[in-house]
Amino acid sequence: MKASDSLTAIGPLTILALLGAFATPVLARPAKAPTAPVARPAPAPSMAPRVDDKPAPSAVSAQLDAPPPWPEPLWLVDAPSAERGSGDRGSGERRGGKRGAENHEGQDHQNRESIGAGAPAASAPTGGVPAANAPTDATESVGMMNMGHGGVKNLVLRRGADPANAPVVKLGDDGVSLQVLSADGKRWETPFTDMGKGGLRTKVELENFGFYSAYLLRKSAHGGVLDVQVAQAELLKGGMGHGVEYDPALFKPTLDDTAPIELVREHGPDERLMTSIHSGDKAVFLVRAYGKPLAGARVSLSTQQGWRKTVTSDQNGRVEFTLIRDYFPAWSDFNRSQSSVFLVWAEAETPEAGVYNGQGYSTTRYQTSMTARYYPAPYDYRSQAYALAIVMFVTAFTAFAVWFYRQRRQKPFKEIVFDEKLA
Amino acid sequence: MKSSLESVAAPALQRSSVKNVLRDAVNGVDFNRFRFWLQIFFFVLLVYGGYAGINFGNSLPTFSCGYNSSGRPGVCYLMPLQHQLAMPWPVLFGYAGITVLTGFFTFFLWFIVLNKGWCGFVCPLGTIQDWITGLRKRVGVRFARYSHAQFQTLSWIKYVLLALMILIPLGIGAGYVSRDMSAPFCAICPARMIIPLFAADFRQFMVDFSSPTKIAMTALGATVTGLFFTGSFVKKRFWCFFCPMSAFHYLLSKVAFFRLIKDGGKCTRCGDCYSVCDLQIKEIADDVKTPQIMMDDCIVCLKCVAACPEEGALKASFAGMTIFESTEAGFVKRMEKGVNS
Repeated sequence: MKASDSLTAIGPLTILALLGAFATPVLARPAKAPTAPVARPAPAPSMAPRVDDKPAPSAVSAQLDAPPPWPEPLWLVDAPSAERGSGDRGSGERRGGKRGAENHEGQDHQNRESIGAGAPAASAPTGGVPAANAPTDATESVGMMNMGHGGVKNLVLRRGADPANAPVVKLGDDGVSLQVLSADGKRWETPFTDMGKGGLRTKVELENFGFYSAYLLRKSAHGGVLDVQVAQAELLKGGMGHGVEYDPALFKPTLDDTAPIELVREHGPDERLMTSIHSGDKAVFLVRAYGKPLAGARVSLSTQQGWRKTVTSDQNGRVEFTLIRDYFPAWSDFNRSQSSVFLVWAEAETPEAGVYNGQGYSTTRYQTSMTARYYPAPYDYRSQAYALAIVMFVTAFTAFAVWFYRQRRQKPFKEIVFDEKLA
Repeated sequence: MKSSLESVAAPALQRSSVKNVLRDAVNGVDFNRFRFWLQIFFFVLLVYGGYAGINFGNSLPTFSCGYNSSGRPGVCYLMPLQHQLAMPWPVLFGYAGITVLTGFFTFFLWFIVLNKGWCGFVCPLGTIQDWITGLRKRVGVRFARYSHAQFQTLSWIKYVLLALMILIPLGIGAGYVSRDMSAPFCAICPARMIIPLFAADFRQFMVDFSSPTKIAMTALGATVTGLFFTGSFVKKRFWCFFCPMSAFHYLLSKVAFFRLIKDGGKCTRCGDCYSVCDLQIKEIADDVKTPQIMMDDCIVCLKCVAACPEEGALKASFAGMTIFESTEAGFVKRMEKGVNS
């Protein structure tokens, strides 16, 4: 068989592919997720100016009477397990640098722990977060929203706006306890205990499947201001079987209409008891006060990598964030089960006056916080599977096309008998 | 008197003798083996040289792929060129134009040294294709050739790609084309996916889901990579035929130092040169009038020179000096080892 022309099968394919590369329609760029912190929004009309805003020179004298700065958010997070303390070397290296040192200058580093991934790297000599002896309790199922679905949660109390570097804290008074509220309205308390590293932890046992709301309320009056701080946690006991995956009543967040300020994560329409949050997802929160939407509250979200965004709640008390990617390991270290923590907190100020513990105040500031874990977007790893599939398919298909073309052009041997008599 | 003449002529004869021995050694070299090892040297240099701290800059006239971020010792010029041309027009046609011209001038200086020999000896993607061809030979699958009509048609693709590679970035700079189309040729170039693999970097084996345009471009890149594997297996130097870098080279090749010269008066049109040509360039055998025989598809691999049995019919020269030419003795020597492999 003649060797030429046998590329006819692949030639047109090549032409189509190469020309198609540039014939691809130029599509409009879709709306992109915000990738950088936005400027601090102007306060809503109903809210007083932030006291930590830089004062004008003419107002220096007024600083003497200025209220104290807003306290750093107090928040709850699941105690890191042995599993979550491994992996992500890259993020640990990134956040262990100058930023961490600057943010916590003057604080007692010995009492700090790193949370979740990156804890080993955070203890590196160059890091600003030397103490990485995170308490691990791998024998129990730990976790909060989207991190573990077991019925036993170990929660640690931390303070600070930077989830990666916030230290554990021990509150000054005794008898601190966590209030837990179930979907059926049942309330109970679990005490915090000394975790031995300058912090507090508590263990919550959840009986039934579904979402629970837990919170720790703190009040303090000083400088004519009453600060009401709430550390919230959305707890989930998830699972499969027993019909729980078909009971819509279990999928709803648990609300507390008695809370002076409350942050509620809005559940997606398809969210179930085993749903996870991924980078790229929209995270929607409702800010409520005594069961009613709170407009004009300042809501901030920060991630372990230090990305932060602040928005103001709308008339329905609603805010929306797109969870940016927070996990940048080397390709060979990529772990699709790697979780990152984000912290979201809401702040609002009212002119409520009164007396607390013998101290009068003319302003009341409310602050509540919540944490959650989220995972790499499926596209982060599926995109490679798609590309590999395309390459393999095209290779196999074109190889088959060449083979098939060659087979078609083969002609069976046919003997020609020349009859000399006829010639 | 005689002895005096001998004493004067002896050193000259000796020099001439050394020169002839050297020339015979070069012309009779086992060319395929020499090229094989030279290609390996350049492959290691251009894929892993970055690990040794080598940096040749961003204007290399060969596929030292920029996506091989750790191992590259320099960057293929097509990548910075596309990014530079995508600058907003007021910037591009303002002060930044100097940057573009500087990059082009650097590329030109690199290019004129080897001409299209960058493709035949240096290009890592070309070397990979030669390795795939070697695999095909071992497996025993016969190779494919284009018909003359197919050759004529497909030969235009590289110019179309070159034009689009320039026009699309210019369109981006003018605001007519989405920035998601930036570096359009890199998006579909098989080197983007394949070369980083040799540095254990699989990140480019992905479909970018950040926008519909990027999905289309990266999926197309994966498709072209699939075509590359099959095409290179059945057709020698499959991708070189469509490579816009090859077209770019040809536009500048007339002023390069390294040239392929043909003496038509010595050519017997035996067709050996054509039969060994990976790119199926017919003119190398048929054209006996053009001294500078290098055509646009030529990669200056010099296999034609090595396969030519006629004394001085084909030669490679550098700045007017012949460095390798066809000889009968060299042909016979190579034939004994099988030059037409």
